[in-house]
Amino acid sequence: MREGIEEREAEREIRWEAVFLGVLLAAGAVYTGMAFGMEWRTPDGRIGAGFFPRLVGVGILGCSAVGLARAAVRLLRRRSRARADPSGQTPPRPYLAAMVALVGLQVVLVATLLPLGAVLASMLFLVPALAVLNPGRHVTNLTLSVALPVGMYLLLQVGLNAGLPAGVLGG
Amino acid sequence: MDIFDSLLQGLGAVLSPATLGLLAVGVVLGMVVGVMPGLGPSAGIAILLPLTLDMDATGAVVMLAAIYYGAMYGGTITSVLVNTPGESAAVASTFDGYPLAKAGRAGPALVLAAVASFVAGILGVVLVAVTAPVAAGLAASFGPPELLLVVIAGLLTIIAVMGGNRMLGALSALIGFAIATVGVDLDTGAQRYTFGSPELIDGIDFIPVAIGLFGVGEILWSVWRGEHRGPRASFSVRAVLGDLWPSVAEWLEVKWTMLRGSVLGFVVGLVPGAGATVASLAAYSVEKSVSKDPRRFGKGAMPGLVGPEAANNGASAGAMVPLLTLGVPGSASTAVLLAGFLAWGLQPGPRLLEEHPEFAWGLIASMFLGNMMLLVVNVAAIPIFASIAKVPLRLLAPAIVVVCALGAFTVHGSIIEVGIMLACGVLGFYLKRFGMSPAALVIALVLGPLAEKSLRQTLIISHGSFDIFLQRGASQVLLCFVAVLLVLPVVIGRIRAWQARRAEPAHRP
Repeated sequence: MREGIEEREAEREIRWEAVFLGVLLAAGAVYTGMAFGMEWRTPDGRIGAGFFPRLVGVGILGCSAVGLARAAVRLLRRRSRARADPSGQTPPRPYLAAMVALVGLQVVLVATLLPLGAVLASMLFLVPALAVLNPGRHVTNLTLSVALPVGMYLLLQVGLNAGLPAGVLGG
Repeated sequence: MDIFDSLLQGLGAVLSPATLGLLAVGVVLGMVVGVMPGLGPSAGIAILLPLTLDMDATGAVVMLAAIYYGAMYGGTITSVLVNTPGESAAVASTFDGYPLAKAGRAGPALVLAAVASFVAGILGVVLVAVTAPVAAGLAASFGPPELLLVVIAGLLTIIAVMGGNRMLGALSALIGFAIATVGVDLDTGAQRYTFGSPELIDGIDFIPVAIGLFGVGEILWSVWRGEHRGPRASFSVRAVLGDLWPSVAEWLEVKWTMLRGSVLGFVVGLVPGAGATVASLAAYSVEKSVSKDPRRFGKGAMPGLVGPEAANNGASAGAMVPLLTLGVPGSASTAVLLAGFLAWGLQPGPRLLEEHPEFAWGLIASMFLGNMMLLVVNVAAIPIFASIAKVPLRLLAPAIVVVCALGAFTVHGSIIEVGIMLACGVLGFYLKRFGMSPAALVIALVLGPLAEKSLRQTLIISHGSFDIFLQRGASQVLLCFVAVLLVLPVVIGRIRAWQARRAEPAHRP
C-alpha cells in the first residue's frame, strides 16, 4: 500500500515538473520569437542585438523540450504501474496552502509597500503570515509583527538612510 | 613590489577601526545567517548586500567577504547540532558531525571545526596571495576566446557536479543568460525585452534576482515541505555541547587532516564552478581512505568532520583566485560577491591587482584578520549561535521575507525590483523542487554580459570562424577541459549502470 502511495506521489511530482517545463517551453518560445525579430547582423555587417538571444532561446527550447519529453515518458511508465495498484490511496499533499498563502501575502506586500510605507506594509504582511505559519501564539506573533518592521526601519532608514518608502506615515 | 609588501599595504588599508568594525559585524552577521534554517552564504550575502551599498568599496567588500566565510562556518553549527546543513557545502559535515553531537561531543567538534576553518582560511589566504599574481599574469594572456571558454567551463563544472538531471542544469544556466539579455544592447544600442519599460532599460539587476532565488525561494521550499510545522530543534545546548575543549588525543588525531583538507580545498576552489561542495566531499573521501579505521566514519570520527570543514574553507579562499583575476565566480556565493564588486564599479580581472591594489590586497589581507576574528567569535560564542539554531522556521520565514523585500527595495528604490525579487522567489522554489540549479542560473546571469561580449569579440577576430578555438594554445587546453566536462558525466553514468547491471544477478535469489 505504501509503495502505491509513493508511486502516486512521484507521479504527481512528474506531472508538475511537466507543467513547469511546459511553461518554460512557452516562455522560451516567446523569448526566441522576439530574438528572431531582432537583427542577426547590423546593416554595416556587425553582429546584431539578436545574435546571442537567438542562441540562448534555441538552447532553452531544446533543453525544455527534451526535459518535457523525458517527463512525459516517465509519467506514462508510472501511470501504467499505478493502474496496477488497487489501493487507490491518495498521497499526502505537501504544505501547498501555506506556501501559496505566503506568496499571496508577498504580492500584497509588494502592492502596499509604496502607498502604506515600509513599516505598515511589513506589519500588514507579518500579522497574517505569522497567523498561518505560527497559529495560536498571538502575543509572540504580534510582538514580532511590530518589532521587526520598526527594527528594520531604524536600521535601514535611520541608521543607513536607505530610502525606505514612508507611505501614509510620511505625512 | 613583492607579495609581502602588497599584503602589508593591504593590511594598512583595512587596519582602521571602522573597517575592523565592519569585519567583526560581517563575521557575526554571517554566522547568524549561516545558522538560520533555510539560509546559506549565498542568501546571506544577497540579503545583506543592500546594507553595504552606502559604504566605501573596501569596507563594503571586506564586510561581505566576512559574511561569506562567517556564513560558511555558521552552516557547520547546524550540520553538527541538528543534522541540517545550511547549504550543500556543509552536507559532508553532517556525516560525522551529527553522530559526534549525539555522543555529547558537539563542543569539541565545533571547536575543532572552527580551528580547521581558521587553519584553512589562513593557509588559503597565503596561497591566494602567492597564486593570485601568477593567475593574473596568466589571465592577462587570455583573449576573448579563452574568456568565453572559461565561462563555459565554469558553468559546465557546476552542471556536472550537481548530479541528477544535467539537462535541467543547462536549462537553469540558459535562463540566467536569457535574463542577462534584458536591457539595452551596449554594442548596437538596441533595446531587448524591455517591453517599453524605462525600469528595464538598464537590465535586470542581479541583486533582487539573487535575493529572490536564494532568500525567498529557500523559504518557500522549506514551507512547502512543512519544515515550519515542527519545533526547529529540541536539544539542550549545554548537554549536546558537552565539554567545549577537545582532548589531546583529538587534537593529535586531526593535525594532518586540517592541512590535507586545506590544500585539497584550495586546489578544488581554484577550478571555476567546482566550489566548496566538491571540496568537502572529496576531503571526506580522502580522510576515509587514509584512515587506519575507516569503519568509524559515519559514526562520529573527528577527521570526518574536520577534513570537510578545512576543505570547504580552503575552497572559499581558492575561489577568490578566479574571482579576482578572471572575474569568474566559482560558486553562487562568489557570484553574489562579484555582483557586489560590480555594484561599486570594480571590475575583477587580470588588471584588478594593478589598478586597484588597495582594494584587492585589502580584501586578501582582511581575510587574514577575518579568519582570526572568526576563530575568536566561534570559540567564545558557540553556545549563543547554538541557541539561534533553535529559533523555529515558523517565526523566521515571514521575518526573512520582510528583510528580503525591504533589502531589494533599498538597492535602487524600485518597487519593480521588489516584484522581480518575488517572481524569482517563486522561480527559485520550482528550480529546487524539480532538481534544477539556482546557482547555475545566478552565475550565468552574472557572466551573461561577459559571455556575450567574448563571443562577439571572438567572432569579430576570427571573421566568423570557430577555428580560432583550435588555433591558440590556451584555447586548446580549455577546449580539452570543456570536452572532458561534457564526456566525463556520461562515461561515469555508463560505468555505474554497467556496474549495477553486473551486481543485479548476484542479489537475485
